[in-house]
Amino acid sequence: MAADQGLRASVARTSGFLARELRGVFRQPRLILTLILAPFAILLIFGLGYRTDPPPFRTLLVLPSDNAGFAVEEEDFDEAFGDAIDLVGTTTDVTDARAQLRGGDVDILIIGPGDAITSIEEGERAEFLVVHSEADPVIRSSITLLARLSVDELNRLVLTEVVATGQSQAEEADVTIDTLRDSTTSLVSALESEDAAAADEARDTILDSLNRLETETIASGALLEAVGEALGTEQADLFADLRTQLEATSGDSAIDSARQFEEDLATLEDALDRLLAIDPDLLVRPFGVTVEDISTLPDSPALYYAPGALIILVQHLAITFASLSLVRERQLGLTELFRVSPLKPTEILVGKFIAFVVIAGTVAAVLTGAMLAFGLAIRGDPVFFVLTLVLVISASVGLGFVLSAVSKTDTQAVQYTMIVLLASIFFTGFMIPLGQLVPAVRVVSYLIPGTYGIEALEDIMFGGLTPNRLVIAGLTLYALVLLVVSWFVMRRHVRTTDT
Amino acid sequence: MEPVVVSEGLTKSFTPDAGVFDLDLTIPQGKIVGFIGPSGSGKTTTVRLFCGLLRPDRGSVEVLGGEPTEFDSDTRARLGYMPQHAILYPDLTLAQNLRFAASLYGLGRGVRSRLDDLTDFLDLGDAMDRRPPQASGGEQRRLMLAATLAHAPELMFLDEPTAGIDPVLRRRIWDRLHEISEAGATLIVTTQYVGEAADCDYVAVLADGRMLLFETPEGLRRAAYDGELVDIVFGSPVPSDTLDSLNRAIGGQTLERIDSRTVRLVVDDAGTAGPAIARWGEEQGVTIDESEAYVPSFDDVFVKVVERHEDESQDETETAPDVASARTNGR
Repeated sequence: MAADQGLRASVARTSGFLARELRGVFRQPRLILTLILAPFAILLIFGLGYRTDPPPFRTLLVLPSDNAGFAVEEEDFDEAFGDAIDLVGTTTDVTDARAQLRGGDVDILIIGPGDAITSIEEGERAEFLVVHSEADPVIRSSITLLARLSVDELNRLVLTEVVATGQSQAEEADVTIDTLRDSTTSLVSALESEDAAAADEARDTILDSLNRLETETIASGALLEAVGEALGTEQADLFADLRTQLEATSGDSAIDSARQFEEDLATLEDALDRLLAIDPDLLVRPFGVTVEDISTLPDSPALYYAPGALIILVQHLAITFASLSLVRERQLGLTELFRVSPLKPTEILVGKFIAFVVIAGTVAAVLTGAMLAFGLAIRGDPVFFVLTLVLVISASVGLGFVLSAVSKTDTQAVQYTMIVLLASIFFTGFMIPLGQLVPAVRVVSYLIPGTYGIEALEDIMFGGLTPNRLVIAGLTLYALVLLVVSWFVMRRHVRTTDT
Repeated sequence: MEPVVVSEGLTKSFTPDAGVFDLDLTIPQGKIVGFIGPSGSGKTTTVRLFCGLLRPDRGSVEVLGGEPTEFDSDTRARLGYMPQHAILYPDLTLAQNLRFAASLYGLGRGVRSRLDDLTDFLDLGDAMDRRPPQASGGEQRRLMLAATLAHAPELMFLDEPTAGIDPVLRRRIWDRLHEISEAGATLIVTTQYVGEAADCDYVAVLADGRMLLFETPEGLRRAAYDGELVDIVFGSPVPSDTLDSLNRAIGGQTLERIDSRTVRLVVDDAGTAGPAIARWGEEQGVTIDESEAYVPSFDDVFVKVVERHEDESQDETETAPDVASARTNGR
């Protein structure tokens, strides 16, 4: 009987705190509206305003006056850099160009090599210099990558020009091939009529024409051979074969050899036709690449950040409510009433814990609904989605209670929660992938509940996967440890005697 | 009957002059004990020591048979505590604050009628839907009182429960406190309204952190003046030697001359002094127009006690250097 009464009293005390916290929040419609609408609006505006490609860099091309033999034109830069740069002009004055960069009039200077031909002849690369003063590390990396890709593109343009020239020369070989074909017909006729003199004359003509043809197609032929080797296709040495066949027309089976020569000549003609039909750009860049994305990422890149934003927001909310709740009770003097009353640490812990899980859970549910409405799907098991949110909220409430223990005023508590928020942006994988942090710093990451939550939610929502067991186990352990520490915080809250 | 509070040499000092010093006190069950003293005299500190909110520096205190700082939940459930200032959640209505306070003592929804009764009694009906910032200071204090009474505790510590409350309601509150006391509960009440001493079974007068007196209200009056007071109106102005004669005859002493014909005397018993005065007048041929007992107000009693304490303190301060000097010379 007494035990029943004790249990009823305990339930009443726990419910008292639960009701108090829920009333405190839900009787403030403006607060609820802010909690739900503000983050939703932030995500929406971010989604509408975010662009994956950075704006083009305002670029000034510097072509030094001693660029004798420099073959690259302004249009080539436009082609090489594409939309990544906005070419604002060309100058030969390096000093003035650097002054413009320092003054912020341009973002990038591309300074061409002084005497490219001489450098190449001396066995050195003709170096371009890309100059910038960008501080943002992401943009700095972009510029470095852009410079490397662009110079590759410029090199390709030069090579394409070379190949095109070779193809043009090969087209001029048509006359020589006609002569070869006629002479071969004459050789076959002379051999059939056993006219040795005519056959010798035809052979001489054929050999001259063959030598001339080899000279005319040397560039394109070498290229065709090189491409063939790169592709792993063995190409026969057609000119050597033809010469061997021609010598055989003087032997015992002269007519058969002459006919074979005729066939080999047709093969050569066919190879040249194929070479001429290939786009020089294709010959220079025979390999292409296609990226197939099998993830289930949403179309809008902004939605990629949605699960992370949800976790960070819910975490921040839970930490703030929990820490402010205890600090305000201390400031109002309510702890004095608690200390005289029969209140137990477990009762206040459970009451407040359930209340904050309900409040943060409600906000999380509304925001999840909004995300789903905007096209994001929960590909994985929804049970794990809910479990992850509940664990993150639980750990965050515990962290909030612990922070309250070291906060003397609500201003201090707010400062601590803001520090956790700032750390969350940098260390949880929300903005910067965890892999980009050195292992020692990742320890900080795993002191923040959101790190586990973001990792698990991205697996569930984007990969359709069951989250890593270690992540869920780690988050569970984290929440349990913090709740145990919170019990001691509550004990201090309701039982400390002033000295 | 077991005492509910026993303290011996109880001391808690914040500075050498501020705190509570050497408090020896025994409070019996079922009584109303008033702690009266000027601001800073140690009333609230005493209550906080009894509640276990403060740990004593020296001495001991037992409340309900246990040391307050080590109370278990069952013992705490028998206590009621109303702090000096209203402590309420500003974002809850007064009604919600009251329900929350009741829940701290394990009272659930089933006590709504009891809470309604208390709020009606304390004239809080209209204010209950308001939040503390919209309620007056008096309403907030009345709510704190309702919260303290809600779970019908055995032992209540009420730190200035009637401060800022109008006299009519104050009277009703005291009547209710008497009912509670008669039902067996013990109430320890601090107040700055000295007149409320009359409503207490015992009064402890505090000054400078020390208890000057612990008496019944009547005992307090007597102790303040070392007897009872009688006012005598003579038919004509009386010379000093005539008064000396009267005092010798009745064993009294002159407290003050109120005007040329009226004097106030301190006597051992005002009831028996009247006939003795009349007899002396007849024997001496002195006309006495009126002779009646004078009951001083508790304000006067309080002032008298505090003045006496201050005089004694001053004497001790003046004597102390002499003693020190004598000790030094004696070496």
